[in-house]
Amino acid sequence: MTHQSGNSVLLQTERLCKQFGGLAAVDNLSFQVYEGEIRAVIGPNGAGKTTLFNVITGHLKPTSGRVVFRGEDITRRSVHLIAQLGIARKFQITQVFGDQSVFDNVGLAAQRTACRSTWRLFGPCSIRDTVMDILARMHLEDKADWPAGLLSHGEQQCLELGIVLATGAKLLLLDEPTAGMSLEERAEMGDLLKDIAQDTTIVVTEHDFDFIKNVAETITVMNKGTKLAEGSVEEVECNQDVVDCYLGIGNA
Amino acid sequence: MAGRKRIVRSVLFVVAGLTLVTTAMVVAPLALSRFHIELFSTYLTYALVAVGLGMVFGYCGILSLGQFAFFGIGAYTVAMITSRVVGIGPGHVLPVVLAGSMLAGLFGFLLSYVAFSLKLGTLFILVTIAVGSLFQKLAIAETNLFGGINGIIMPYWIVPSDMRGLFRVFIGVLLVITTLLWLFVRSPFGRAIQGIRNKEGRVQSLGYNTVLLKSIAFAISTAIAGLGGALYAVTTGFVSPGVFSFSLSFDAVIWVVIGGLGTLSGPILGTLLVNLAKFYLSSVLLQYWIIVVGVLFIAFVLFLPHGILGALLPRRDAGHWLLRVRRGILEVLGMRARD
Repeated sequence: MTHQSGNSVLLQTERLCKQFGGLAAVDNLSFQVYEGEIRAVIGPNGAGKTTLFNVITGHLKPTSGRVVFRGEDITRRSVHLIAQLGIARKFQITQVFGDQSVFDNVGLAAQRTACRSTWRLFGPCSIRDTVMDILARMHLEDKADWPAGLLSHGEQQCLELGIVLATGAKLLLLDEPTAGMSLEERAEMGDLLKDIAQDTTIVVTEHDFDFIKNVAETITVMNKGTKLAEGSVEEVECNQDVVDCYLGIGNA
Repeated sequence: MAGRKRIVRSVLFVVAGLTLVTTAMVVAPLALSRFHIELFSTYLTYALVAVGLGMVFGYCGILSLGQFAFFGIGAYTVAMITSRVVGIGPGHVLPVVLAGSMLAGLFGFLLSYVAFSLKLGTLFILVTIAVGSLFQKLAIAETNLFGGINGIIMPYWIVPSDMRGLFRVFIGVLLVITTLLWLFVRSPFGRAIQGIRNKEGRVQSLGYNTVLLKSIAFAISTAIAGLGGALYAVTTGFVSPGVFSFSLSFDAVIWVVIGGLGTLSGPILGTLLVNLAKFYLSSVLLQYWIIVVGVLFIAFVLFLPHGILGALLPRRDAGHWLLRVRRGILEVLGMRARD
């Protein structure tokens, strides 16, 4: 689980700022995510993690600064274009289509990848194998015909992961993927992430530090919109500033 | 197994539908007088508008109170080309009708693309009302171009002598359009659009250009409405600013809801039921007819929100904002919502 230095930079922010009135939710933040890694972004509530994600995916436009993805400036692009470029987001609150089947939920994401242009959407898209593969990885293949709303909360989180995976994105932004999960489910999620990380890059925000320790290679700690510290798990754990601001981090 | 019950229901429905259609095509024209045939042909063109509205409202969640604005575009296009352009003859009816439909679709696309790009959301409903009103005023004001309040009378050869044949053609057109829409909502595009109805932001995050998709869907509905208008012009041989009627645009929503919101053929049933009832009952009920329709509409929304066909047919999903509104209303009234 060592950090693969020497890999190219996949995503970087340059002096990124997002102001809401007088409040700087993201304050002069510059950081880089390398290809193939699993990066954790942690920080107390209000540190700006979700705002950072929103700016990266285009849901919010920054006040100043840049977001560069694979060498391209994506700062002011629209949400769907950024998604097409290869950034997928899993939101904090599960947003599965409850009335649709599990298969159709993943299928909606998969058909976008299979039918790149809008006009091809009028014709048939063969996605059955892709979707069943992903469902198998998420341990949901038996429930492919279930309405997604009937899944347990943990299963819905896995389904959400399957959906973002189906987009074929190069960068997955996961916002608290283990929220509301039991210990076993968290361990399962951790294994899933490590399995997925072989093909893609993951940035995950979390409050569960044990989960982070198990999964992440590098940790970026945020506080009040800025980068407080960055490094491996051991480095961050010993960092006095981190311990000070994030009291009880070892007990989370 | 729930699956088998669904299949049985679907098969029954198709059989019932085919029987009905065959009856209508073969028997009805023989049994009716020419006046009735002309009138019912008009209702069939209305049904076309309703089918398009049913798709865009029921499946895409986009409410339009201006579909007859596009009906009017189709009608006026046919009227203007046939009466103004030199060299147009009976052989050109089909291309002219298609031109009316295409023009209506184009207008619909441009209008909705601008509106959705501006993130109008619910305001779009007001825009659709305004469009109908705008076109109506334009048609009245521009006497030279659009014939003013007197409308345009088309050349004699426009209305076919074989009205029974025309009636059958209209039923055929309805069948074809409904089938095409059936294929459309099951295509990847159709699935994406239905996802947009439920959670547009989510679908956007998956990489779909939701503004473009919604505009295309709306354009399809207006093209169908335009087709209805063009065929209406062929039936009557005469158009007037009344075709842009807001009253009809609003009625179309009632036809869709009563017939079956969330189904494709429900709107056809709703249109025919309401219009036939109006025809036969308004001589009895006079001005109270409008109260009857209003009460009926409210009753359907509250107690049978999926309409007649919606209650009979198996439904795959129920996530429509109209249902959320309905639940809210029922809560306020102190009643529980049974979906």
